[in-house]
Amino acid sequence: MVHWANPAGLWALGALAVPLAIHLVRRPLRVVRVGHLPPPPGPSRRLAWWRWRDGWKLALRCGLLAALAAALAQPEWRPAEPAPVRWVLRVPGAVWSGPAETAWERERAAGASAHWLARGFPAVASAEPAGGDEWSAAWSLLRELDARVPAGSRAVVFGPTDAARFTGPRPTLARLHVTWWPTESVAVSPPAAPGPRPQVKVAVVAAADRSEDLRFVRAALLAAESSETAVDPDWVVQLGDLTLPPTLAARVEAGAGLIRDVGAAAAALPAERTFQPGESRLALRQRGAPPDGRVLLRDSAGEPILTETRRGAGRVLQWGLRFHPAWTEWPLRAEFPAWWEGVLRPGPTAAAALAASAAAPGFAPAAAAGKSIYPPIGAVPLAFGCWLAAALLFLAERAWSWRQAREAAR
Amino acid sequence: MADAGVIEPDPRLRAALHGLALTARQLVAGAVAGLHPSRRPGSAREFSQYRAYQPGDEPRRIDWKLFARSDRYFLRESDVDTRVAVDLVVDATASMRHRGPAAAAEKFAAARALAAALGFLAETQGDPVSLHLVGDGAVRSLATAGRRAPGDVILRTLARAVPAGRWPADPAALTTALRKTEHDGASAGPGTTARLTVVITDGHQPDGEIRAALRPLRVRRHEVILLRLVARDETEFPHRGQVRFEEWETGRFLEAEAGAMRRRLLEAAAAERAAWRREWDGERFETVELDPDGALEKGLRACLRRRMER
Repeated sequence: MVHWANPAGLWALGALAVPLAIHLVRRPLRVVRVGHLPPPPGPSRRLAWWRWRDGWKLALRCGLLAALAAALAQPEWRPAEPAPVRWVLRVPGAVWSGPAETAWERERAAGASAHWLARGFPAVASAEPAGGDEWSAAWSLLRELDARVPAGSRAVVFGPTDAARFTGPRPTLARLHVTWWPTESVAVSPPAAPGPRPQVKVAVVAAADRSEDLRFVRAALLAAESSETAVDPDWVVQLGDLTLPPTLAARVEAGAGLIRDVGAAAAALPAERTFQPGESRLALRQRGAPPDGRVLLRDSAGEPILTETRRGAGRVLQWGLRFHPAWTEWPLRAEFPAWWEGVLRPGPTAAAALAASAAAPGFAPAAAAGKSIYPPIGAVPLAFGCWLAAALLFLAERAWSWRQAREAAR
Repeated sequence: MADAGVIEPDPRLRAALHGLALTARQLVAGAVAGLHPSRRPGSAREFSQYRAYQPGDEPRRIDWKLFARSDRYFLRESDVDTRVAVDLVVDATASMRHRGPAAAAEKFAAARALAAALGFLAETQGDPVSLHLVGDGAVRSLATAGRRAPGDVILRTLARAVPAGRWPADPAALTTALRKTEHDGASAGPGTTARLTVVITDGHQPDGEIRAALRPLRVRRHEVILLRLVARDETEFPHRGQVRFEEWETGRFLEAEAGAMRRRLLEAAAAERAAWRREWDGERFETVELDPDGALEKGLRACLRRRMER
């Protein structure tokens, strides 16, 4: 089937009116005075003002202009369009929550084909693509997918609403309709820092019953190369239900971050759940009541386990658990220091993760508003053939005209 | 038309005259035949031969002196000079301005040369010759009987003639003019025994004027040579493309794709010429088609030779 990449070029077909007029409208006739016209000349007869002449030459000229117009319109041969497909795309490293998993299973049950949102779009049954940044060119991948799939296809992307992962203008896809299903977060690998890492000052305030928790937290802070100080800290870690010293509270109000665990007041609720603060899903043995604020992470039951609230210019990350092996296996896993690293280190990923709420509604590419500027896979461009045909027709027309002129000169 | 015999100071006319005279002489140069046999057997003073008497011969033509010597009857014969009054009728209508795409001159130039040549030939034979120019709705006649150098007079008249207009509407106009010159020629001298009318025309007769004008000649048993000028483009029709054909004489036109109508026009022209020959080619009417763009002398000499062989 022939498609026109630049249909506006077909307006050039209007130029056909020129040769049609030239060959249709009669030119002034050559007058030949004769002694007499052989009988029966009949009554004096005039030719009509219009009369087709030089039909072959007209055909050549029209063909030439049509070929030029077609070349400008950039035709391409496309194979017959297959049936639309339905995909679900999973962002590698995305932290699943209960509703996302439910939606994922629902899409799969509806016949959607599951793939990773990564180069080559491997099936989910295959190994998860390595590296948390693999999907960072999300829009570029979706553009590529838009060029591959038939028109009318649909895709549901399960991934975090992480603004830093979306670079460039928001794409407008022609054939693919994308729905974005947000997951809680994504496990990110720390960005490579070629130079010396900046110091992060952290003040830790722990209740007396959190000595065990404090041990794990300090180990994580040590791994994150942070320095513990009570003077102008960048972060304040509050373990247990206690009151912050005024200087630290003022510091939080001024813009420092505060990380709190569940607090003593919260009752420990037995739970056989999981949650995914990093690359792996971890067991959650106990948890507190769901904290208030904007949810950043949910457990496998869908209840918030990490929220964010604002306090003055600062922000508070409120966990619904304790950093204790009795509550979760997290402090014993490598994901624990990795999370602290990702949160404490002022980097683009961490900053962007906190701004996710603002960017989330715009992550899904725009619906098809026009035709794609990218040819589909298997399309064969025909413009060169049109140019070639135009050149051949031009030569033929010139040769024809030259022959006519030579005959007329005889 | 100006009077014949007036000396024209116009150098162009003089040049035309010279060219016409030269052409006329070239046309008849080497022609062993004239317009007609100049002598026929008869009785006259100039002895020709003796012939044995045959029953039916007049007894008074018997040479009695020879009978006395030979005791046999012989008739004394002598050739009688014959003079034929020649009427040159030249079509000077506008249609004679026809000139083919590859032709060097108009048809009328050929007609002029033919008339001049025939006038020159008649003058050589001592025949009285008169010229009738038919055109512009009238017949203008010039009788040269009794004039000196009638050939020159005819040359001058022809050189100044310009084809225009049509044949006279009156079909008797030509006959009247011929009769008038015949009457004037009767006093030109004895010996004029016959009349020969040579009509030089292209045969174009939108309303049958030529047919109507020549029909009385047939009734009067005039001997008529009809030299019809048929141009090459009228038999070959070399035109191509969209063309507007216009008749000189009538202004009638035809706009057509020449290539598409070529065959039809050629067939019509051939049929017309065949019809002309059927009607006008007979015992006393001889039709000769001449190509004005070709070798006129060949056609003219062939015609004269045929006449002498009769």
